[in-house]
Amino acid sequence: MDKFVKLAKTLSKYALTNIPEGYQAQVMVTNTETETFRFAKNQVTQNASDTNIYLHITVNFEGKEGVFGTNSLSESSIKKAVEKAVESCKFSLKDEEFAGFAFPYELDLEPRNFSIAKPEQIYEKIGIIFKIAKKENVDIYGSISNEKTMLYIENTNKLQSWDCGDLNKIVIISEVETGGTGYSGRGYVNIEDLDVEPLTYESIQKARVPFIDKEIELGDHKVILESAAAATLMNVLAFSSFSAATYDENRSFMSGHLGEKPFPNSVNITDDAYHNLYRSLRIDFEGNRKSKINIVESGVLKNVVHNIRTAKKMNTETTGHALPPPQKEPFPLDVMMIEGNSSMEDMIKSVDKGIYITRFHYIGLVDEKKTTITGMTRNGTFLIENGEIVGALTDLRFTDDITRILENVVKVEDTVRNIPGFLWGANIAPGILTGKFKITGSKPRG
Amino acid sequence: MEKKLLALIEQAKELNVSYSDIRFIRDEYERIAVKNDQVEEVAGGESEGIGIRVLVDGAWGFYATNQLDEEGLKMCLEKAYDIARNGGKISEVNVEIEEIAPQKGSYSTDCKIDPFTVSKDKKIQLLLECTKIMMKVQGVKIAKGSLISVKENRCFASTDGTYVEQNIVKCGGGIQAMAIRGDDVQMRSYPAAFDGDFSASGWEFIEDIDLVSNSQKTAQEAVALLEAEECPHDVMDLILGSSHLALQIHESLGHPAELDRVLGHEISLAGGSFLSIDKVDNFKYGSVHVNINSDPTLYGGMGSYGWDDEGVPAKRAKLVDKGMFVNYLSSRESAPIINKKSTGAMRVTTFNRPPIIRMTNVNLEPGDWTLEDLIKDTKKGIYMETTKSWSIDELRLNFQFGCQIAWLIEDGKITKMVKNPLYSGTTPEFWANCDAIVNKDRWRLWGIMNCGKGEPMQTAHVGHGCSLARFKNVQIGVKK
Repeated sequence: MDKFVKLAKTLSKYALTNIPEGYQAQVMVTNTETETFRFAKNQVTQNASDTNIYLHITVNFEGKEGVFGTNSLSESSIKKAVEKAVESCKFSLKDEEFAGFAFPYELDLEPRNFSIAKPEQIYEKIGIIFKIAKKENVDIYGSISNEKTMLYIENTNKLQSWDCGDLNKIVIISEVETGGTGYSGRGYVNIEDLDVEPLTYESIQKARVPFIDKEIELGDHKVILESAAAATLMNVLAFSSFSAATYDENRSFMSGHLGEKPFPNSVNITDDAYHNLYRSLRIDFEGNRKSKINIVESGVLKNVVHNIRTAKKMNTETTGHALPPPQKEPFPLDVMMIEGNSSMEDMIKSVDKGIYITRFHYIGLVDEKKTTITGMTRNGTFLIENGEIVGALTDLRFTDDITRILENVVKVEDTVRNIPGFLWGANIAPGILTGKFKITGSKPRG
Repeated sequence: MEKKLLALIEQAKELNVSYSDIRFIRDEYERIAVKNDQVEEVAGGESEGIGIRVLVDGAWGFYATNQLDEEGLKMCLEKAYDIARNGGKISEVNVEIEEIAPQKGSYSTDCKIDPFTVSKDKKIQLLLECTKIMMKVQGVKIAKGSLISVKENRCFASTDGTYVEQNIVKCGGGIQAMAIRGDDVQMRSYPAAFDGDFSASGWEFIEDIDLVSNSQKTAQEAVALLEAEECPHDVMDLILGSSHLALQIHESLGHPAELDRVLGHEISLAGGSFLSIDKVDNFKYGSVHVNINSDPTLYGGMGSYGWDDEGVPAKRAKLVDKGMFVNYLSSRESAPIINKKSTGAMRVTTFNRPPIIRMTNVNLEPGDWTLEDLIKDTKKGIYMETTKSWSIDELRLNFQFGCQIAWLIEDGKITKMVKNPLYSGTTPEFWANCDAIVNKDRWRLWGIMNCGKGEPMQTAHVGHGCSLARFKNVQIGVKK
């Protein structure tokens, strides 16, 4: 990290010394290292690794903004990048809502120093998975991926802020001869601590549940959403509802409803970059330290997240949720649902007739304001009868409002899991049992 | 760059790799966006770097870096080699790839006006004129417009003896009007949803789509939707407008025809495909009216190029012939598995991503109907335009799509506008019920900027050519 910070300071100096007088500017330098190893039918099919350093310069003159990014890092290239940003700024119009860049503060973060996993460490884990697959006579698909990001922000207010984080995840899908598939997946912090054996068996166990030939009626059902499915709902709400920008523009279901209590006490949603299940960046892309924000507390709508811009407009403080420029809207990258007090076993036992859903596929946002989504279930959808899983179902289509699903939450699992997601950031949730979940179709078998 | 790449290929050969390819890619982009009377974004960026892929003892290795000095290139090759060598220790299958003849040459977009030479001021004024017109329409709360320009310089060398260079220019844009009343949010976009329509050509494309002249109608339709009735829930005939039909093709034929999906390489993320290997030449994908091809040679196509990212020359390939499924989008590794030649569909989005099978320009060939005759011929139907939402299962069978706007058709006439239209179906059944396709006069090659696939995620540019088509007996709205 020290080497990166030293380099980033040098690159920032190249940029900031070329800023014309009277301009404000922010430099953002990122260094990403990624590794993605994918496997299918017990063979490694792809391994891709890279390292890349990128510099973003944002300039602002009397409210007019220009942005340019480059990974050509010579002094002359950075000078040209600054010139391009300044040129863009000249053509821009005054942005009345521009609220300036961040000011210096005491950055009291615990230093981090870690390396991305070595290829041989990843292959070792994949090798264990393959051995189990062979022993159990199943086909296994999946990936192990690691992404380390170092971030440095400096601006003309003399702010210098930096941090590093990573996002490491494993996905395992087992497939058996009947066509049954099962999913398991986790985000993890250190590859040394990643125990792939129980995860592999978790996916195999799901795949082996025999199919049951029962038609599922369309309409409302009691449903248990496993952590992966519940975390997906959180991701959609992060996009559609939890930002001050969607709130302010009346695009969020929360708009005008802060302080109201639409959900039961067991629904608690937070944005927490400091959770111990993963290592998020603890500063945002304006350089401000991220605050932990309670978005929904005991069912009450409490807060939305801000960047400097929305905070000024709504007369409050930034919560440290700015995205990289030129994005103007804040975003909660570390949204998670908090655990409740029911074990998964008790949740299943409490259902007389219902459906257990492992995860979703291809969620489409049908109505942003109403939080209506549609999607399919995937890799482990089961029928529950009299408190037991009695068979596997074909994948089901659902179309429902996330708010309605949460309004009808009956139980929340006592354990949260970090689940691999599509977005950079948290994907942490417990399982939930909801009394209403609308099934609107099913996939034919075969 | 040629010297550097060829020198690296020589170094790779010294490591006894069975195959290696190396690509240098330099990308440049510019995005200008306005919202109401404000300039929301004047941004640009560039990136360059090198990606090296090696095949060692039957296992792949890939590494990429933006460090382009001698030390960086050496490190990149060594890391790719090291990854492959370690991978070979746990793999039981030796990867083999189709041999191809060495390729030499260059390819450039046919671009009359380089969009990067058009001033930012002109672009901003164009968009502000659009949003001004849209905001004047009473009821419009948010008006947006954006223009995007992209330039790609790609140099590719391989141990086959290939060295090719490609220079591609792309641009496009669109406008959006949003009308909001209470919880009712209605949106119209022109010429297509999201950021609009795109083409691998120059600024002349932006002039052709004429955003200004279409602003008022776009805004008026958004407001009119607030007053419109809800779309009925019923089974009826569905006519899909061209820009949305492009997405239908993309999701229900394009993705399932990707051979890597069929072989399971995408199962853990994007999913598999119902088009299993036994279905080639042996499966009725759609009605006899349905002819679909992959054609990366089309002028203006966002999926057009001279060579794919493993050196295979661009070529047209039939995927569905008179309703029969006949081929996949494939690569040099996957095509031999089904005893075919690669269709040249291996693509990377930027330097630090490995090549994977992608769509090119996947097109539905035109029929012989006029739209007017098609509407006259429809007793009970609905005509939907412009994508609003989409969702499809992991095998690409069960789908539900939503459009921004629709009109009911009764006894051969359009009777009224309805809002929030949705339809759902099962892919082969849906395409088997395609009984009419509009003729070439309304055939258009659409450009999509945001086709996501792969891990790490690659957002590819693809094209879809189509006119309009009718599908019989479709479930409209949500089945109750």
